[in-house]
Amino acid sequence: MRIPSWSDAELVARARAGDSAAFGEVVARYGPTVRRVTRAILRQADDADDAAQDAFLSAWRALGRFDPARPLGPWLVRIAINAARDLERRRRLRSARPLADQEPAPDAPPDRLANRGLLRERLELALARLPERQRLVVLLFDAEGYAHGEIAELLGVPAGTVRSDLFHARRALREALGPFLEGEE
Amino acid sequence: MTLNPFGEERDEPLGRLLREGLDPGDGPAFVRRVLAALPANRSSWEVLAAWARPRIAAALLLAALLGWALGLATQESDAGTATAAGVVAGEVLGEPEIPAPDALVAVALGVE
Repeated sequence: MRIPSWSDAELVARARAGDSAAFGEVVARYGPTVRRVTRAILRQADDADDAAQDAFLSAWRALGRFDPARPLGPWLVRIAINAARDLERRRRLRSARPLADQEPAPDAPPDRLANRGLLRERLELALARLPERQRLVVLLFDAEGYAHGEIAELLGVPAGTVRSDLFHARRALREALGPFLEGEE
Repeated sequence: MTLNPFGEERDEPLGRLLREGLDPGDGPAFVRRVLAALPANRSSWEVLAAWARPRIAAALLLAALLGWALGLATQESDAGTATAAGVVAGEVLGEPEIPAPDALVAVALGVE
């Protein structure tokens, strides 16, 4: 079944009634953001997708408690953050190999399309050096379009802290990703 | 490029790089994966609970309103009954009749 243009509220109402196709549309709509959020926290693709899947399964079970008057995106992002943090705690218990902490690749002038792998590698390294909250703040603000206040509410910190985190995260990422950003500006 | 951290302006180039660098790819496969992991059906209790919750709230509200209206009606009815009872009692008992002093003296003296 194709559900092209239903509102979030309509999709949630149908999913609540057990319509898994409607829930599939919710996953299609918010999956990219949720998966980027879990990647920013876990920095490992497989674990991140496991956490994103856990998040959607939790959301499916909790649909009855979702207030349709509120936006769906932040609700899902909050669940995703919790799922990723849970997985990270479990991963720490398993003492999994930490993500790459080696020296960055040589400073060859990057062609963005040809060097997508290099971008990922650089970004992964740069993100690994940031505290989790700074990673989330810069992702949610600059890439996902959330406002300072929304991020503050999601992360349970004052808006001033969000602004400060954003400043530090941007500075660190711009330093690490400089050659890639030159092509963007 | 320097952005004021206190402004609302987004760092668009950095945002694009973040989206691209963290791009999970293959959205349809992820959707299929999540749907395959869903419980075959939400349990009938979950569906029933989701269906019943707003209806129970509405029923409670309606019951409260009905109770309030009924209470109001009962109060008015009680007040009416009390007024009517007072009137009947007054009619039955009437004003106490005090015997004339002559009659009392006659009784005391045993005069018929």
